[in-house]
Amino acid sequence: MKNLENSQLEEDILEKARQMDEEAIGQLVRKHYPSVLRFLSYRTRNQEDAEDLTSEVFMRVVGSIKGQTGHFPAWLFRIARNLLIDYYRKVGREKSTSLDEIEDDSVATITDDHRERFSVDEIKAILQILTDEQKEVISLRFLSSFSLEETAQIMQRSVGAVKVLQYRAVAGLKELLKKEFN
Amino acid sequence: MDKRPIENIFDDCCEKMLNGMPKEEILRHYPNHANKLRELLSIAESMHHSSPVKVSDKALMSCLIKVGEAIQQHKERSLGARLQRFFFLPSPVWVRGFALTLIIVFIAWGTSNVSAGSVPGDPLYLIKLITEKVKYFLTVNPEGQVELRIVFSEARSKELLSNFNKEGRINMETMDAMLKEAETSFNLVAKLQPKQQEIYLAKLQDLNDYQKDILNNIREKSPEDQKSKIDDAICQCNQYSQLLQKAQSNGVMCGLCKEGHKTCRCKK
Repeated sequence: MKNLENSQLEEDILEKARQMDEEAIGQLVRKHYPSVLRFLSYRTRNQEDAEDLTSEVFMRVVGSIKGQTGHFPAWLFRIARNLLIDYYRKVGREKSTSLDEIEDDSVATITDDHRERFSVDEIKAILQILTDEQKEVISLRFLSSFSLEETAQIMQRSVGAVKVLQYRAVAGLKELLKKEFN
Repeated sequence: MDKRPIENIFDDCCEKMLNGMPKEEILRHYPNHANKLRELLSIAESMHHSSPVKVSDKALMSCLIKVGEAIQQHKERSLGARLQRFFFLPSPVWVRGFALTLIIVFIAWGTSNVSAGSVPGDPLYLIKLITEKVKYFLTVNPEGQVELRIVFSEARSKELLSNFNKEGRINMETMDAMLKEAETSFNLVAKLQPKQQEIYLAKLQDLNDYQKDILNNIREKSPEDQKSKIDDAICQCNQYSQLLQKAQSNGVMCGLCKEGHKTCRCKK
């Protein structure tokens, strides 16, 4: 019942935002800013770039929210994803950071079962190893906690394809991490 | 044993892990794949539990400001685009045509109303004259044309008086226009039916008397250099009055010689 009320409330906010209501758009920005920033932080050169890009995402939201349909977060992250592609085109591919370049202490624990969490820099280094689509599936599924269906929607791929990508990304990561340590 | 592809099983594990189920408990559901899945799930779990990105208040505020500016720009742009779309895009033509006509009619109506009270020398006086010309041009009925000429002549009389009260001098152009309008209306009466002619001749007689009164009143107060011209105008009114009386007593006027039918030489 509470979920229903929440989704109705969110839909009301979205409807107001579509009418260019500043208050409603402000609420959307406050709510989704952290998740978009998190998604972009792992994929950009530095925090400033991530913050600039996040602002750009929400400015694009203003430009096209009138025609927005479907699941809002999926739509929002599709904008973030497209901006990220433009960003890569502009700044060029970042130099691939090897795990060797990260502090020894942190790397040593990456494959350790007892390791609870990675730092932002570690994740950045780990993602460098993967292909673009694998990076994306990892970011969306595990860093932004999107469901499989939402991830498929954002990536504009089928659910089956995302499942395969997800498995291969994590399996590939496991192999690469092993190689690094051997 | 779960015979589904490993990608599907791994996804089930990930879904459970994202919903907060402990890793070992998840693996208990898939005992045959536990060894293979353990390491993969560890990596996925570590990723999921990675340190959160710190959101600085300054960055969030800066984003909100930029978004606010974008909203304003978007609103201005969409208003401009709406106007541009209205005037320059081809569809729907009839709506634009209708709206433009309404705007023009509204502006024309407003301006002619405002200019109705203007006198010679006012900026809107020219519009008043143009409006009169348009009104006359749009009137095809002869009776309406005579009526309009009488109204215009009466308007000139009022302007003449108003101008004189304001400046202490007669505006000669207005006086000429007043007499000319009266003369034109008299000429137009010939086109009317006999019964209508009688009515309009009486109206013209009233108008002529009114204009003569105005001229006589003004003459007393007007400067010397204008008195002779006013006298000429009064004289013209007197002649015109005689002509009207003649037309009224001799019956219907002839369209060509403006004489009553009893004295009409054209027909003879």
